[in-house]
Amino acid sequence: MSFSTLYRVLFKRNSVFVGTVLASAFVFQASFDSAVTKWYETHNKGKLWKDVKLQLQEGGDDEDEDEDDE
Amino acid sequence: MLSLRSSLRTSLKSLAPSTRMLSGSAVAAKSTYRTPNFGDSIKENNDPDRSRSYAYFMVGSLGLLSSAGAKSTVDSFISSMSASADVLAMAKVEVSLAAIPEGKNVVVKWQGKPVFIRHRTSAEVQEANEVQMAALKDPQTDADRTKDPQWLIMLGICTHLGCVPIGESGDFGGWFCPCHGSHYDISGRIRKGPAPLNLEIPAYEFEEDGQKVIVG
Amino acid sequence: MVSYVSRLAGKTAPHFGRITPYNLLTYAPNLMLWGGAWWAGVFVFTEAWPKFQETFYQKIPLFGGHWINEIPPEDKIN
Repeated sequence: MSFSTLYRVLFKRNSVFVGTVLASAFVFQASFDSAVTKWYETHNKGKLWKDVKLQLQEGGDDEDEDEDDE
Repeated sequence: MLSLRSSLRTSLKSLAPSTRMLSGSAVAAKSTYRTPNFGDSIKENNDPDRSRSYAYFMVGSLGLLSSAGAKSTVDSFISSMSASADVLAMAKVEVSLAAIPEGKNVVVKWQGKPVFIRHRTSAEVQEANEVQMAALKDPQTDADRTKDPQWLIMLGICTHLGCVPIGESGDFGGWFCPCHGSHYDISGRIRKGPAPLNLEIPAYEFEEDGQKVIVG
Repeated sequence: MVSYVSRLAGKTAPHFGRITPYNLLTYAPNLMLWGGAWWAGVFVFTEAWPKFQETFYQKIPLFGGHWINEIPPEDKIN
């Protein structure tokens, strides 16, 4: 797409310009949030509740029994 | 003075055909400023739409980021006002009704306040319905105070000064407040004593076919 | 009897301030676009509102899943 069509389609009318900016802000919010959450969860893998819960379900009962024996 | 003015007028008249007086656009026409030649600074093959698009794209991106930031700021202020999870967890209390035999009271704690739950017998329901409205200080029918006439659920706080009334006592077979002697009937309505209002009814819902009540 | 014409035979077009039916019609396409822009702004600011998420945003085709947050029943507080 050449710059003149880009200019004509998106920037020429202020209403279209503002509308595009706000619509992409809406998409940006969601995707930015998803991206940050994804990064956070990979960075803290193994420490999050969903990972800890799986560990507890696998070996949680044994640990409790060990503690009772002592 | 007079001659000066007339001479000015004639001189203005002589000017009139050559220059446009009192005209804003005439300034440029009269200007002696020589416009410089920018030819050396102008890019070759310059596409004005390209530079415009670049500028508008930057403006738009700034607008995008600032609107997302503004929304985020507003959101964090508003969400800080909403109830936190621990408050929400305490907001409701669940009581199993199957464990309460007929003609018995149960007191549960809800948001730090006692809630009376009475499983009324049919004789008690009849007694509550037979009361004349004229005899009441705070007239309310029994149907207004219960969702299911079998179950009377109300806040166990005396409307006088906030004591907790004693169940199955008093002159009217209901509750009696030992602090200042308020008597409540079997529907929790004030009948005698200093309390001005009937015992308050909290919001509640029956669930699982009336096997459970959720107060709050 | 002589009849005098005391004013020009003209009528004022119906108007509200500067807005007349005619120029409203010419503004209409642009105003509709502004309406769309306004809706986009509303969407931006109600993005985190649970009621809006349930009614609209979860139903968006491709990335509607972003607003669906399922908590397993054993982790729920109520």
